[in-house]
Amino acid sequence: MTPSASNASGLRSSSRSPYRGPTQVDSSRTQGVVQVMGRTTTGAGDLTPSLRRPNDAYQIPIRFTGRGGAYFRIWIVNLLLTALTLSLYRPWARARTLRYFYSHTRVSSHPLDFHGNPWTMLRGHVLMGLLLLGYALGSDVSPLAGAIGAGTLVVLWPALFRASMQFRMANTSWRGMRFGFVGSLRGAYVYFSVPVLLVVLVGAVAAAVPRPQAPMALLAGGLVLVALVPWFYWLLKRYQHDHYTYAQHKAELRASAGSVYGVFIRTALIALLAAVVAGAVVGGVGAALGATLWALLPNKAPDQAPPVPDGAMVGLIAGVVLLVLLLMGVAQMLVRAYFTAQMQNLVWSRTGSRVFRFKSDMQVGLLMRLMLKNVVLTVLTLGLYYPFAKIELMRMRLESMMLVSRASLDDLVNFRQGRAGDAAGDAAGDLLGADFGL
Amino acid sequence: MALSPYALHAEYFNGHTSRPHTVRLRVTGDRLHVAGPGVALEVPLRDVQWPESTGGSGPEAGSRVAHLKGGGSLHCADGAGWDAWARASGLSEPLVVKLQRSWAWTLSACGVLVAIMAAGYLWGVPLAVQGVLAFTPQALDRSVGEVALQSMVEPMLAPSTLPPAQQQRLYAAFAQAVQQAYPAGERPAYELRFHAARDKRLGPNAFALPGGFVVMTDELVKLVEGDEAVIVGVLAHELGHVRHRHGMHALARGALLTVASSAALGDVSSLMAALPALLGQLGYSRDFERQADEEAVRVLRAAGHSPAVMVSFFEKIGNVRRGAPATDGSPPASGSQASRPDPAAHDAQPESAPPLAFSTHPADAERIRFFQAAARGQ
Repeated sequence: MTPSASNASGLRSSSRSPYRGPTQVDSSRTQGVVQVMGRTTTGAGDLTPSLRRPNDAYQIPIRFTGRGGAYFRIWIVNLLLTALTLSLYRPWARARTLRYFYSHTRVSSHPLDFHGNPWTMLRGHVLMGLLLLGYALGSDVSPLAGAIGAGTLVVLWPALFRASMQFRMANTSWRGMRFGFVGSLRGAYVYFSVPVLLVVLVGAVAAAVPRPQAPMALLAGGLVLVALVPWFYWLLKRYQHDHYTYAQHKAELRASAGSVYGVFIRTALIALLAAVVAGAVVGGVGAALGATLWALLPNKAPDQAPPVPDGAMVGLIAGVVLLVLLLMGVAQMLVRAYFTAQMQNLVWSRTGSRVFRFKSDMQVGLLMRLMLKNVVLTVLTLGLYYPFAKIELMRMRLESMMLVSRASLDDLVNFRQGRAGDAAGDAAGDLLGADFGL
Repeated sequence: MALSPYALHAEYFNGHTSRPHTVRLRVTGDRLHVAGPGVALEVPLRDVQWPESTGGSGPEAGSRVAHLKGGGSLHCADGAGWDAWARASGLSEPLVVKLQRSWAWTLSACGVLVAIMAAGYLWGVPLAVQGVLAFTPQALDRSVGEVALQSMVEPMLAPSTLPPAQQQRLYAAFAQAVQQAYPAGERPAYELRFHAARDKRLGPNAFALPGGFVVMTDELVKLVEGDEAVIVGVLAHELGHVRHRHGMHALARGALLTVASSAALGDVSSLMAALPALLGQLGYSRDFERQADEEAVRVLRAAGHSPAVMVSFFEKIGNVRRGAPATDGSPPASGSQASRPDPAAHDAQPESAPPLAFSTHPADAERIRFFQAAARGQ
């Protein structure tokens, strides 16, 4: 297995290769994870895997074998014990849920696995509980206490987020090797403080503007912030996807901010269209109803107080309200389905490394039908269908993804020493055992 | 002693490469033996993180992964096979897992869950709230009350339109009644204010906020035509809420319910988790109203009035709620054609008033009987 020169040059010519962007890895960011670059590394001789060409790569399906019935039992027992212990059981509940979902996720017939220690997770759980309690009670006591509580949460959030990603990844493994998260603490604060600072800046500018123009300034500021939301989202996804590691590989998100904006704008347009259609339907029905009501009024003298509605009219009004709610619900689900499918497709199809990448191909129509079915059944069963719904949704999300690998899966090697990475950060991950299901 | 009757075929990953090795697993005594071409391990049983079974057979059973302390792991694609081997080898599983595997146990767990939540709501929450309040200083009540009052002044309360002389008379009458009812050390501190109701839906009303703020609307004073006995009675009822810290109680209960329900139901959607807290905010409980009524009786007696004055007041308020003209006790106009609808009375729907307000609690027969019995001296 020799490193082939044509491989290296083929990669660097961006016109042929689907991989744009840097193929070098800044070693200071990865801190101990060595990306194989066609040269041997320390230790075991020539362990470079031979890579297939990109359009000849292995296509590895992802299968999800979970069943709603089995998960329902886990879910019910989780609820019972969590309620009994006033949420102290939560870490075990999360661990069991994750283990169930991961162990039924098979990539090329080998499952993922979660092996986090629930006792460690209990620490993180208690910490988060205290922070949230402080915030909730603080805001009841006085505005200052509430501000302090909120401020603490905001300041700690990037560190907690990073610790949670580290914990989750380091305790997930596939084929016996652990994943990793190598995002730095500085990176987390940089990525997260940009939005916060911008919000503060916009607020300060709006506040500094003289009184008469204050509403306009606030509106303009609000619009600016809304326009920046896709950018914040892209920053978050970059922080996550740029720092996933497995074996000796580190992932990268190759989606540009522009493509994220594209998804948001298309979603907004769909939402607008749905609102217009729903509004037209409601308007039409409302006009018909108004005419009916007017015809039914016993006398129409303008100085009369409106009559108390009797049964039939109450029924009509209730019917219209129900229709409005239904239309709003369906429209909202359509928008959510579109956004979820498109964003998953975008973000995961552009995540990968030189050797691995993902492909995601979720269909909006199928997702929407599933979401509708889930909501209807969950409401009809007063929530008992929820575990089944979660399983079906996970199945759709996972099975629309595929792993594309240029290396044979048996040839991966893990050079990381134990759980290398930023030592303090790892300790935080372990100390907090924080896992927020992000 | 744990002993495998047969060996299980599995795959071993050493944690450094992704290549699987076929191995056979056996348990003897307190050790797990892993043997295969190129692999020979003996691991103490307690150094193995064993997988948990979720029942099922065939592909539904999923796969099992066991983690070894040194960093390796064992994979078995046949979950049911692993479960059978583990049972046969004498390995035990946690109680929770046994619970999760059986439909009978899980469904009875459902029933237990519902029963526990009901019990917690009925008894656990009040106990916890009392505990929390015992640690809360009275000074906190006042700051909470100030914040609440400030938030209500803008939307709901306007400066009073009652003549200052009348307000002074009422202040004095109530102060005297309180002085006569409570010995010096026990007198609750209060701050009485009259306001006009800015929002018509508030109507004739009175409420108390934590820290001693007692507010009465001009509309109520006008409803009873300035009858001092009735006004003292209503104010004493509100003072009872102040004295027993019912406002703080309701607040703490709301906060506790929110926290407990989101902690307990965190796995379910957040809306369902917020429902118990919303339900719990439906104002004072019957017990609180009874306590406040007792205070009202006490103060009225000390001021030399009969508790029966409250009965006629309840009737007047009841008429207002039903939308009749408030000045006389005639029954409300029937049908949809009120001849002279009183806009204030018609709009005096108290549903949007704060839950602590007097008018949200229908003066039901039980409360009326209570005051009548008190008037008879029982």
